[in-house]
Amino acid sequence: MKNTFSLIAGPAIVGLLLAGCASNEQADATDGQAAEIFTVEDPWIKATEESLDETSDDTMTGAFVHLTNVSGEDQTVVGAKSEIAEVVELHEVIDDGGASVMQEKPGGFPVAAEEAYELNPGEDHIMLMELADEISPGDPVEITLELENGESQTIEFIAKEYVGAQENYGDLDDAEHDH
Amino acid sequence: MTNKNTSDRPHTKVSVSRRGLLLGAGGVVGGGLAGAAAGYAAAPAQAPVAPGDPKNAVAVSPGIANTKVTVAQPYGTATVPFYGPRQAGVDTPLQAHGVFIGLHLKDDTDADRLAAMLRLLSDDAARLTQGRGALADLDEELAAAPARLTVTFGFGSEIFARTKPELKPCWLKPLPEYDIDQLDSSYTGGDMVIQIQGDDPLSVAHARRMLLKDARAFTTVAWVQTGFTHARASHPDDTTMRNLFGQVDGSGNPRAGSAAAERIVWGVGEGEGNGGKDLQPWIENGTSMVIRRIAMNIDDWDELDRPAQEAVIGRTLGSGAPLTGQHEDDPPDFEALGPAGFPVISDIAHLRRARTNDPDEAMFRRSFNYDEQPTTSGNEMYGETGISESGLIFVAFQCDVAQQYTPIQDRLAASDHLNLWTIPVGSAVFAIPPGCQEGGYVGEELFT
Repeated sequence: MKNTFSLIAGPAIVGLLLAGCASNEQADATDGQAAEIFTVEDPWIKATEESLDETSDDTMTGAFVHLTNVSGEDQTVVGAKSEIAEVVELHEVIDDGGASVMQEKPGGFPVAAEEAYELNPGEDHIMLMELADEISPGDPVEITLELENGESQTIEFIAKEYVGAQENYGDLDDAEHDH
Repeated sequence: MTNKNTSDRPHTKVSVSRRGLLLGAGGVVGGGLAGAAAGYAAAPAQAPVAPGDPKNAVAVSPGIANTKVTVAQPYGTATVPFYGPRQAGVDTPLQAHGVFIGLHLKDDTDADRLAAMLRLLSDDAARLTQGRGALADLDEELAAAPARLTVTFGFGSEIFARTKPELKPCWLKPLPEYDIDQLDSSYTGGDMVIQIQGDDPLSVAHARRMLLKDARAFTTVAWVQTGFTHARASHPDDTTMRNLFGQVDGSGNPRAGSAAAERIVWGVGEGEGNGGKDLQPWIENGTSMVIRRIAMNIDDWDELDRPAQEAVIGRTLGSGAPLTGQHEDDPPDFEALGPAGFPVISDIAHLRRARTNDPDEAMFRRSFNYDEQPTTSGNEMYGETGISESGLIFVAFQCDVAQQYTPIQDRLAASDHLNLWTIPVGSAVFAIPPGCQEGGYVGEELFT
């Protein structure tokens, strides 16, 4: 039976429009890069400047995006970098004996050709550590994804206030987050 | 806990063609605020959808959870466009539920931060009104039935003071102080207003939550007013809403898109051609909003018999027709005399006091009822029995508050039979900026 509705996806288009003016220079600066690899949907980064959660850690945060591989071949994201953070890692969340633990994902994010790959809170995500500055809600933050084949793609993430996506680690005392 | 991208659960397959866009070589893509395009394209009518029927479920987007829910046509899926030259929620069809939120700007919310907030809020509104979760929405299922959800933003003086003071319309200030007013600061003023309206109280509540989550870094909540009209489909769609005195409320509104509405609300054209005002919109496709909270003493109103109630307003309760006419839209005959030689529509009837011969001296009303928990065992404002705290969130849109609204309010404050049963307890005036296009945001004219 046919679905009642068809969902028309087009956010990547709009995101580009919004980013338009601001990204022209960047586009020029990266003209040497390869052709388009991922289309990008809903990129956002957790703001560090929390108006609600005063326990928020201002030194690290997570970034999330839905990617679709349009390059025509399988890709693997093996790293990421951003001017705003000293350390950027690709993380996964695993079940460690009943506790969710975040850790660097071995081998990075594999995205098969024509497939979508989602980075979401509580799942795979981009982890930014040793931040150079606070990230306020509404701030744009650029992160460059580095691929196994040597190519890269820069994405602009918009900062959203978000009290989830707490960066807890199994080997740290995170009692205050136990519920 | 499973990881979506490592578990056996298949990825959501999204074909490239559906995404439909190849971005330029190596450039910065994304930009996060992506509100627009996704949404419903209503399929042809089909058999009724059973709740929870997975075959008829709608994918919720952006889809952090990749969940699906069922949404009924036509009312659940109905959308009002967010993007466009004018904001929705002004002269678009009236919905069943409404919430109005007044905000104060925080001291450190400067022009740059304001622009950041308006981008976030516009993106939220663009998504939510089209049945999508907001960006980073943990509860996206609550957005799945937009049911004509609209979000409308309005600006108070402080927004202009922090951006472009030269654009501030001269009428953007509190209304004159009226003797009839007993204004409560809990419902008065504010630097900004967010009006959220829709036919589904669940999606209205979700929009309220998501918008305030993005506003809270920049603003504090000054006041909130929630209201209702009638459920969609309980009356024909163009039925004038009824207030809790039983009166049709909004009769005589210019019909959206008519020459009269274009002139009265938007300051465009000549209207009926015989107006007496020099109406100029403060900005193209902008307008103004007056919101007044009107306490209604229904206990005392109950003491009037129906003919007396009808005399107070000058209309019949049933059809809403003027006492001199048959139909709601009939023009009132203020010259008509009754058997005893008195005017059929009395000298102090609300209908007479609200009208002049100048067709420009008019407004577009979009009011909602409120019915709150009574706070005491009764009082003069809401009635001595203490069983109701009811009233009207009176909302009027017009091109120019000073030329169109204030003269009418002046007359009603000076003499209106209805004042015996009503007390204004809240009041605020806002400038309504134009709508925006995809990629833009509401209010961008103040930052360019």
